[in-house]
Amino acid sequence: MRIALLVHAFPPRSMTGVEVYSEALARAFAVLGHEVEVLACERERGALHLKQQREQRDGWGVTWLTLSEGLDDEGQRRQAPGGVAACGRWLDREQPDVLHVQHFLGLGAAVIDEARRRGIPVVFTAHDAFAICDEYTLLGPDMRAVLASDRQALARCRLGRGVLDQYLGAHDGWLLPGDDSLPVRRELEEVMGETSERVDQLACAIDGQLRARLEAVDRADHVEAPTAFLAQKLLSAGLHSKVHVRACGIPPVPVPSRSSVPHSPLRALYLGGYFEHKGVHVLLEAMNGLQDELQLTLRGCHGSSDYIGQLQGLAGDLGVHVGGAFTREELGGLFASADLLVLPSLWVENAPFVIREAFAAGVPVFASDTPALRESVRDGVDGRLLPQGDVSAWREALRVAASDREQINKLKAGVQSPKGIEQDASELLEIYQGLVARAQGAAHKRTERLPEHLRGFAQRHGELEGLSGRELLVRAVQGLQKLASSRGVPLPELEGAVEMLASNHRLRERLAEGQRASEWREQLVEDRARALGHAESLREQAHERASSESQRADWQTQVADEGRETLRAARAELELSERTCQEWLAQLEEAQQAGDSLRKESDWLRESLAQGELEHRSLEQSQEQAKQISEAQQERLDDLEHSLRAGAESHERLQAFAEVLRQRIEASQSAYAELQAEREGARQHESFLEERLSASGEKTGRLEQDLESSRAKLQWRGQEMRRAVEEGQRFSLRFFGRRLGQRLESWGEREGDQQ
Amino acid sequence: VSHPISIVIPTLADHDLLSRALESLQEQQRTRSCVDEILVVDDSGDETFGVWLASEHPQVRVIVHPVNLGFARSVLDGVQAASHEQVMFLNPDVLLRPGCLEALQETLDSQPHVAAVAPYVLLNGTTVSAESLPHLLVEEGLPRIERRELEVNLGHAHRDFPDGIPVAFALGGACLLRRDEYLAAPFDSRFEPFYWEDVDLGQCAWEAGRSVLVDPRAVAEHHHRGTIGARVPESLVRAAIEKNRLLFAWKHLDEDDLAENLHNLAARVIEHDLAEDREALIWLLMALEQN
Repeated sequence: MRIALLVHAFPPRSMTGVEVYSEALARAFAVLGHEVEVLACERERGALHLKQQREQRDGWGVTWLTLSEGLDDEGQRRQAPGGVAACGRWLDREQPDVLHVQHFLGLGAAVIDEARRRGIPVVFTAHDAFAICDEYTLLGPDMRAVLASDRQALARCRLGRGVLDQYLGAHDGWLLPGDDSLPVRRELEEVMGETSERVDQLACAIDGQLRARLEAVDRADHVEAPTAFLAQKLLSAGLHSKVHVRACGIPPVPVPSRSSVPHSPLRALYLGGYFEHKGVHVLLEAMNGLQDELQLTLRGCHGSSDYIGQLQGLAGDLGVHVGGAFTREELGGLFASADLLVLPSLWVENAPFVIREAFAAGVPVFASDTPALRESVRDGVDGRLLPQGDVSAWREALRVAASDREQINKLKAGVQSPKGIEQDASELLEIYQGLVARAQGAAHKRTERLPEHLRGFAQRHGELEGLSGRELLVRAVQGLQKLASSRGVPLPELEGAVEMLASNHRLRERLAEGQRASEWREQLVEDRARALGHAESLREQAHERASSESQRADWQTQVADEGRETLRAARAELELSERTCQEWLAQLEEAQQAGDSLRKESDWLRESLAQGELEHRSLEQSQEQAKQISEAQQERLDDLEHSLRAGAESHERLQAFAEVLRQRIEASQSAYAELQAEREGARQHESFLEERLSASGEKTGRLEQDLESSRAKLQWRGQEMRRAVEEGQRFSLRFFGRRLGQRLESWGEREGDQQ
Repeated sequence: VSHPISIVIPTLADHDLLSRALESLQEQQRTRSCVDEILVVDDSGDETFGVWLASEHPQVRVIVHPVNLGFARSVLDGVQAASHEQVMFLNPDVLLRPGCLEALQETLDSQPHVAAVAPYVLLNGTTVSAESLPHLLVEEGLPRIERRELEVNLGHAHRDFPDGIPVAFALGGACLLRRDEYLAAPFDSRFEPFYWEDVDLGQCAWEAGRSVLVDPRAVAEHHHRGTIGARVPESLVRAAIEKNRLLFAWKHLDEDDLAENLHNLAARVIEHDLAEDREALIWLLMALEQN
């Protein structure tokens, strides 16, 4: 099988866990008879960006991909410009059956897609939390825990790293709590508590980047993590793929023969980087007072210089040496001379290789009690788990260990051999084979969809596509040579060129690099030519200036000659003037007297002038104020004019309206007058009617009285008449008989009708 | 006097396309004094297609391939089953204009040295003739096909080439040739799965002292309904073309051109490798393996 490993750094340039593990894995695969190619990044300022140089190791190869651009840019540090495409070219050359991404820092998660696009199955091992968070230790630069899901916090961390970068040049470092008066700490605290628009914007950008990263990881064919703790972190962050929890193996640690009895005094060993989150200072503080009982050895391959300085300060008082880098060959000896390994980490940790290396050497481990480390160390069985950062607890545990040899013996007995790199490689090969078979099955299905007569052609095409660039080249050249030979065409000797191109030194890459270097040099030459042109123009300018200065010097010499002549004449004039002066001195005395008088007058005038100036200044101020007022008034005037114009317009509208109203009023008035007149007429008519009514009343009264009177009269007359009639009747009866009596009765009836 | 032709149509069970092609052939029959034979070779493996064809076009003979065996094999099977001396290769997306077959047959009958004659093919029925008059060039040892610019009066013989316009090859999708001659030297299997096989056939004819002509009196329309591009990934199509171009070169180039070809290829191999152009190396390897 052709296996490709991709890792962010590699031994011997970087000797930390993932790098050393990747190297051991490559070697193990090669030993098992597989072809292995490693792509490893190396960061080098000023070098040719994306240079690829292959190095032949023992049965396998490592291609160094140089990253020199974007090292100062936050985003490009994690994904170098052009890095993914360079990885694609490497994949094209090597044509692996499977790609195992150990760490994509520097290239970006898009390398996963780059492989999948080529039909290469991808395995991704999350050795830390980088897949979900830039702060792969889940610690901010201020050493406080940070949640991968808290994008605002991540944004502040990034800004905080800028602060560390600016003050300490320690971009990926940490700052331990301490003196708050230090500007760097003060500024870091400010940034870590910042809530601002820039934090929001940065959080938004980080969110996009991390989502894309996680989605790319999701597209890997097989994702695994060495601890359930990290697997859970990945799933919590939104990874949909199944995360397989599988411990990594370690290369053998050959330990020289050693006594089973613990050393006296007890010997503790720290192996690892000197970074704040490793908590070495906690260990040194815990060692205070234990110097006679416990001997501590510190060995670290790298670290931050400030922190190393701090550690040296602490260690010096304890008589502990802050030791430097160590090789794999030294590892066995270091473990052989130690009774326990200490790992006082202040971060969450994952599955440190050093623990398993210690176990491989039969050395128990005292480690910080974190969820991840609980998966590596069994408290009281093969080591101790101690409260993270708790100096007292660590001191007490170390004191007990130093005094209780039985405890160490018991822990040593509890240590079990960890998984070896060979077993790890075998397990991985099984995974790879499954994925490759699946990929081949998919390719086979694609071929099956083709018309029958094309399948053989497509299959052969696919097989050739699977060849590495080297094989393609060699086969093509051999085939051409054979063809040419059969047709009697002499071809130039190509074997040498092919050998060079396909050899370990990879002339092809060097030629490609050479081409890029040539382009770079051409650019350099162009830059220099431009600089030369600029220098030339400067030289010409200087020359012109020198020429101008020379002319000026000539002119000045001429002026000096003329000056000397003038001086001679002036001297003569001076003598004459001296004489004249004497005369003038006499005049001067007179003038001085006049002058005194004038001076007094002048003083008065000066005072007046000063007064005047004060007044003038005051006036100026007044004028300025007046001007401002005037401007304000002008503005008001403008406003008023504007209002006036608006008023005039309103006035016109109102006038027109008033005219309408006036006309309406006039009409109303005339109508009113008419109504008044009508009312007056009505009133007169009413009076007339009242008078007439009154008169009528009176008349009625009178008439009623008359009527009453008439009635009374009539009544009386009637009675009188009736009496008269009766008397007449009686009289007629007496005198005229019946006839006269009827006549009298008729007279009486007429009288009654008239009434 | 015309005599019957066997018309071989390779198909992929495209009912509409074949119906139109057959209608066009029926039109031809009106001006023909004999009845031509139509052989449809179906590569689709669709059993119902044969049933449909028998019911809709009973005059047509059908050869059914249970699986897709490709163009060259279909043509060969069709020619082997042909009853007549002359066979016409006809793709179903090529429609013949009236009088086409008559003209082609007349040319082939009258000129025994002519190995194949093709109609003047109009692209998609327009007057743009993008497929006729192919001309072969060799540049830096590699053959290239170019269209020859020549003014043609459709339906009439060319004034400079009254017997037909010489061309490098007759399009495999529309040409008339002799059955026995073809069976003696059919499409070269090295050019499988497709492309360049008709170029090779034409070149073989010229090398044997025969001619290949386009007769502008015979006009056809090519209504592109490409089947390869729809069914085959572009990378494979390109691989087939480039592989066959190399095979053609190695088969037909003269000594000097071949030497130039091989020298150039040797240099290009290095260039391809440096440029990481893997595909070009794969084409070369495929050609070398099939050579």
